Amino acid sequence: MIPWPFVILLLIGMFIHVAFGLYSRRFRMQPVQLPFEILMYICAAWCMTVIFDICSDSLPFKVLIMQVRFMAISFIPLSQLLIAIFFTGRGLWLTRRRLGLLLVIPSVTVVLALTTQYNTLFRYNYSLVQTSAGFSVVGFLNGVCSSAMYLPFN
Amino acid sequence: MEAITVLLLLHVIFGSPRLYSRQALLFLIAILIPVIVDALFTFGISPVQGYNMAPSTFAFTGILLAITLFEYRFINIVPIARTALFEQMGDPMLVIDPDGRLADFNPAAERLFKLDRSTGVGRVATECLQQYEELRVHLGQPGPQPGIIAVGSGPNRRLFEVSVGEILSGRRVQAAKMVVLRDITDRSRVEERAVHLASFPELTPVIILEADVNGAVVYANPACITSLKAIGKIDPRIFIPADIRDRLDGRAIPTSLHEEREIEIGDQVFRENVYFTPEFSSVRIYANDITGRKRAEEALRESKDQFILALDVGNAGVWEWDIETNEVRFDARFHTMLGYTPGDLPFALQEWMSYHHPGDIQLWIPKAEAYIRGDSPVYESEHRIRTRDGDWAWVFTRGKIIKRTPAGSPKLFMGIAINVSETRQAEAELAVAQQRYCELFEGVNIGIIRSTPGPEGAIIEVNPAAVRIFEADDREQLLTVSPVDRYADAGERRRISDEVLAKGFIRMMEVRYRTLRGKSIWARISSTKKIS
Repeated sequence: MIPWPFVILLLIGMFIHVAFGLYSRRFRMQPVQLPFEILMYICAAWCMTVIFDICSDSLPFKVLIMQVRFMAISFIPLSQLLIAIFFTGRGLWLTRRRLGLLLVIPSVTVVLALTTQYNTLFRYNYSLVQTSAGFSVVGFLNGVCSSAMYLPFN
Repeated sequence: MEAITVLLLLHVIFGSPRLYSRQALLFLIAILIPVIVDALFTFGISPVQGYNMAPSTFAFTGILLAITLFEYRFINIVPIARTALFEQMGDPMLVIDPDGRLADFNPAAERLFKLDRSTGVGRVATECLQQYEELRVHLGQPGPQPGIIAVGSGPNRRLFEVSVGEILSGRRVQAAKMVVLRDITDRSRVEERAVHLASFPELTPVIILEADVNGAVVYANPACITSLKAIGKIDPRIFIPADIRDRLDGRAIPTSLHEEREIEIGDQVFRENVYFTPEFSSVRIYANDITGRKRAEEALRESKDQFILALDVGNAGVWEWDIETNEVRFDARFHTMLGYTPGDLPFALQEWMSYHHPGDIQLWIPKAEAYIRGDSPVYESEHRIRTRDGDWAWVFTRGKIIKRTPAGSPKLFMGIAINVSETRQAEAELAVAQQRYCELFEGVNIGIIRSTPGPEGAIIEVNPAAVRIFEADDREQLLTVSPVDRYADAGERRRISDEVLAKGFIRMMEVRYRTLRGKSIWARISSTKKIS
């Protein structure tokens, strides 16, 4: 059964963010535009993966969708920080070295999410959990990295 | 990361103008809502048990983002931090504390003065900048002292406008000096160029005048003033043609933007180029005094008319020979002179040769070649050319090279030709008459003496009969004697001379002469006065 109210809400969110991302391209001369555009697409991707997630009852598929989702949403805090940096005119702070350091946590998160079947560092013990709204989502336990690194740093 | 993001945005919210504050606030709320929902879900708090509502909030946070984007023009207009402005400013800036030490300087100053930020801050400014004497002088002066300094040398020399401002503390006490150097090298060059360009209209002999749409003169160059003085006028508006003044009279610039005309002011003639310049709402006039040229043109026209008249009267024509192509051309008079109609004569030199008398070809060709080679200063020839009737006409030609190639070789040889056949014939007839006169003079048995008039006179010419009558040894002996000595009565010579001069002649007068050997003879003489 497709939970339409949730799906419609997510679809609206997805389209709005894609539209904002495309609209922002009009101001490509502004340094703040690129991280903003990326953030909008990541948010849209998040909505889309959640739609697939709640419309499916297959646990392997839900786990796969979760992995795909983390490839995008791991970069949300970084893109928000970049927006704030450029918005406040502190773009000079952002040297190549500092950007590299900021990319470490999201990149590690992506790697851990993609290899979640082979370790328990990120999330583990996946199961189908029935929500109170009647659709199922993937249930899991947070691993060491998720608890100690991802959540606090983000 | 979220915390840093929030702090940065809070800094804008509480420390920036209203627009940026609103932008930052709405954006912060928009990003915090899903973050908070996500965090609550992590702690097991969610309206739908087991479901993370964070992505579902995007539909609502999208409204906030829309307001931020469209109402407050987020992304389009963003605040720039003052420190970033200081850092990124292209103009070098130095901050000097009251003790004369460098408190700060931006990267532009770092590059210009080769300062090191890590070691330069805190050092005495005049020591760090000791190579820049002009700047040190400025720094040493009290109060704001704007000025211009040069930095570098040769092609790297740059000019800077220095302005020294005071930074006051909260208690209105001077906290530091702010020295800003604005690079004015390019501006200075442009100004120099402008001055240089402005000198052109000032120095040119061409009259330049600019008037506004009301006909008022807004610029007149020195040449204009000089020309006005030369013609005894003062008002430069005389160079603005009256009809243009009428057309300009407060009305729009005409559609035709350029006019060329000649105007006469007194005895002077000016050629004017009138340019309407809508971009400046003005009209510009460039005028040249062409009086001299006009007079020269008139003189040339007169001269040309006289030349044509001379050609017509003298039965002459014009020819030209293109030495590069060996083509010959003749004008209509040349054709007519020889009885041809224009166009009859050939263009090819070789064919033209066949129109010449075979015996004369070697007369004029070597002369022409010698002249073309430069061996002869002038080309002149008199030779025969066949007329349309088949007769031979004597033609006198004289020519000159009038055009040369860029390398200096002759290109166009041009000249006139005069039909001298009649002159030639008259000369021949004259020669015959002279021959006959000589035969008669020499052979007649009557003594003939030509002498100058007057009581004394001198014998000019005598014939053999006179030599015999006066018993001279030869003609030369008789020519050396005085005529008056030959008269038996010396007064007779005076009387005869006076009568001849008065009447013009005497006829059959009997006179007694004495020969050179002293013999007295009677002769009957006739004499005629001849005026040379």
